[in-house]
Amino acid sequence: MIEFRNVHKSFGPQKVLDDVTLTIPKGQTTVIIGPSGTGKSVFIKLLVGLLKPDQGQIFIGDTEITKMRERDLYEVRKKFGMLFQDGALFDSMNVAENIAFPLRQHTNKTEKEITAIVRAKLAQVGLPHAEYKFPGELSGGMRKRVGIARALALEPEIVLFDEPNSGLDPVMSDAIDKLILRMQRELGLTFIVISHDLEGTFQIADRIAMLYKSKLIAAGDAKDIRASDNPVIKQFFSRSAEGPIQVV
Amino acid sequence: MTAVVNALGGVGRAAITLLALLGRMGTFTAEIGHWLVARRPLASEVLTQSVRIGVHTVGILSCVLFFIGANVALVGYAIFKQFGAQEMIGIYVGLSSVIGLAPLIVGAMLGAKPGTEIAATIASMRVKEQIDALEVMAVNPYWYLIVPRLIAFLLVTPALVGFAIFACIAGGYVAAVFQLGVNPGVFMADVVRFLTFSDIWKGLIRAEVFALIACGVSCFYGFYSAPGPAGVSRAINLAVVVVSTAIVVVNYFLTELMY
Repeated sequence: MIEFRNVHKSFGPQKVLDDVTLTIPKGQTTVIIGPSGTGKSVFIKLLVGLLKPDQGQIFIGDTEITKMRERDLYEVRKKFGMLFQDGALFDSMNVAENIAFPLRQHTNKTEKEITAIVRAKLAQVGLPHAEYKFPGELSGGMRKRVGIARALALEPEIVLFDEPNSGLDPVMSDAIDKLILRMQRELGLTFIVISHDLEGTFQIADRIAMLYKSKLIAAGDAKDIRASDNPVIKQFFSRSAEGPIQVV
Repeated sequence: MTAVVNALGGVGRAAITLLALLGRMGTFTAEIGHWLVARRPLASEVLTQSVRIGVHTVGILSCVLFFIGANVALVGYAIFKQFGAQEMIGIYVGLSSVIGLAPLIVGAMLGAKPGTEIAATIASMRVKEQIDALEVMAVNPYWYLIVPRLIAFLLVTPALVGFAIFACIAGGYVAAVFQLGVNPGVFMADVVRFLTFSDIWKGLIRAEVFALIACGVSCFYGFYSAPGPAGVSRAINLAVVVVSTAIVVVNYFLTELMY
């Protein structure tokens, strides 16, 4: 279980997260939604300790990470896998080397074992023949899938997805959503997805949390949030420019 | 009154920016110092970087220093001729190569060639979230990206200085002997006549200091690159300007200190 308790974060005068309290259950997919600039990416960076909150506490299981030393944070981060928006694959490495990277850094596995894991992960994400391609040779969707394979390489407990559909066409977007759904069902891990893609959210979410104007305005089961009467949520789900969410 | 307030505001903002920069530099240096001793660097990464830095630099460095050596011989000949000592330009070429030119140009080339490559690589890794990816994969970016490059710079520099001295003297020899008609035996004897081991050591130490500046500054601007392509190009630009300026200034103080 992951818990945010009264978390505040500002950059200079700009408040990005304001008193956010949220519990994310284990073994489910929680999608964090909200309009652009509401602190979704900051939320994920706080979760992995890339940023520190100004106030409040963040717990991963029983461990409070907020005041942890950098060295101890590295141990906690081994529980995480993360898919970045554009994959964040290392340009100087091919696909196989990218997926093997965390295994080489943190395990004593032999090259033979690593190769077997790389092939298995690539097969899992539907890219069995991409081992020797470089990131520059991959399409956006392929980069995301390789990113997912790398995120899963160390068999983490928690997998984070930062806008997995951004920059993809609707067909590829749907393919990525289905892949996330299948992975979660197969592996039973805790998935946290940052998104403002509604189709994808409804497809993959067990739970939804919505951030608006730096505050958490709703969190709960996906179907409950979908049926919410909150005008902000209703406007967001109806993709309307009319309503309390101001288009800037 | 408003003009005074605006001016004071400008000074205040500049002071805050400078303090923030110094703070970042302090953190950056402390992190590198920590990771230099905290965990053994990846030997494969140090080797890869050493080969890349050495191989990519040695050709252009030798070429530049060959022509600089030839130019030194031409200028030296014109000066020495005024008091009839043109046969002694070997001394001038030898001493200026080892003491001054080779270490300085090695430093400048390290900043211009592998330095800009490093600034561009690390800046684009920052922009593409690859440095964040390293952190999330529990791999410290200072340890993985910067320490191996720094060690590689320091390892490769003595060899580059050797090549630089050889190329500079070779250039001087070609100009002096084939163009100006200086006796080759006299030239070579003069090249080594006043050189001491101390000169060579001092030259190497200077080059290592310049290598440290070239690598440190390039990594720093790459690591703290602003977002987007403009951020990457600004990081490269700042790296080149700061490295070249710092090397020239530090060179003066090192010369003052050593001679």
